[in-house]
Amino acid sequence: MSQPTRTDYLALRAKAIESLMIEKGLVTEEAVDAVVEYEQEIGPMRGAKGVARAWVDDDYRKLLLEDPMTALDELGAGGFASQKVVAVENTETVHNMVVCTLCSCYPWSILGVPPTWYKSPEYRGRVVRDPRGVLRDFGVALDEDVEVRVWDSSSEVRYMVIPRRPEGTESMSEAELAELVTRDSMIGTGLVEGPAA
Amino acid sequence: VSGTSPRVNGAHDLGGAPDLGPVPVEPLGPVDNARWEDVVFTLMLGGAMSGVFGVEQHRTAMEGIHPALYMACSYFERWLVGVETCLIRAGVTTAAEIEALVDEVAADPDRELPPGRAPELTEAIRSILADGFQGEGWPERKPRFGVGEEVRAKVIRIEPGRGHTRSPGYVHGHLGVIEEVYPPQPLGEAIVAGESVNEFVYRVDFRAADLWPEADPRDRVKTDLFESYIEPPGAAARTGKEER
Repeated sequence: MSQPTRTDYLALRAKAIESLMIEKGLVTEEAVDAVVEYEQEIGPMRGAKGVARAWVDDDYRKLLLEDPMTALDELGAGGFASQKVVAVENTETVHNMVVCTLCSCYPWSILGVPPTWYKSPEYRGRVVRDPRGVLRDFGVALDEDVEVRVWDSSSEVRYMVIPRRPEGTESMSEAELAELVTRDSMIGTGLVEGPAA
Repeated sequence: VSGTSPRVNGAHDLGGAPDLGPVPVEPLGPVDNARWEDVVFTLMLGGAMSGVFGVEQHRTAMEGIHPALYMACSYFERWLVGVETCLIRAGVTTAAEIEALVDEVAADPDRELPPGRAPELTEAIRSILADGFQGEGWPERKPRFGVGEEVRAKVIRIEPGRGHTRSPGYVHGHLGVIEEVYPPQPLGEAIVAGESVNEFVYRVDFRAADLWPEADPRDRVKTDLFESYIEPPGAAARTGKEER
């Protein structure tokens, strides 16, 4: 028998607690399937649609900034961990980044399952103190005169970033633009790139 | 008063910790949790929806993990430790019972799970995913502080793993300006203490250079703080010292 890995062990331990909780009537196996289904249903495309619409429709952009829950309603805000979402906008002179230093709060229903790096001690610990260094880890360099604002989600409020629209996208449709918007750009660790030449 | 002391209230209080390496960046693309990770996630939701323990108790339990172990554990590993601790604290099981059960499963890893007994929980968990946790009605009160007001973040000390706070250590003792008043939310430490308290939440704007001398003078950190975490600037002398 080959040596079990740490992950094998954790899976086994999780199964032990799962059977205990099922037996006590505290969870069901079907609920795990419901979670898996939900995770496949959500994704950064929901938030990306809001960003693309804000780029092409200035009234929508204002609504997204002033009343984000109404603006994001049809995209799925209000779901798990997204009861109160606030959208913050990048400009020529301001770059926003989102973190939860104490745990890993994240607007699941509009950005999908959080990536592992978002939950890492390195990101959580460093981004409030050295945001530009963290951006370098992601290969992002900001212009000299940009102010960085880091938003720490320590309450039930969740933040999302409206990234800047890249140049050379003037003729693109809303749907095409949405395809360009990445998860990382809505957390603030990435910029949106224009279409490859 | 410089309250910038990461980890003072537990290993999870990481904001500004000076000894961290590069972020383990992953490529873009869908995030695919392993099945056991989804199981652990569901166990926490099961605890919350069955009323045995809540998100706040779960967080508190994880915050008590020894700092060395905390850093060595993956995210869902910490969650699993948190679920186990909550089950033990709630009297649902014991540590010995858990270890015996783990041995049983290890001896027969493919064994079937017991039959479900609470089908209504599946639906409850489905609805929490679709709609989020629904807060109770908020009391008709006025916020103590207003937008534009300068406030100081109180120095708050808790016993890691027993006490709980959502005020990150890096703001403690520092002055900031209120930028937004959010409607009241349930206060985590009250829930952990078996009470129900809702407090206004304030988004407080801090100059990064006030928090860390080496920070870029232009940069800002915006932290959401419950009403009991902040005080008028002049109150600092009273609270800065005697908290321990």
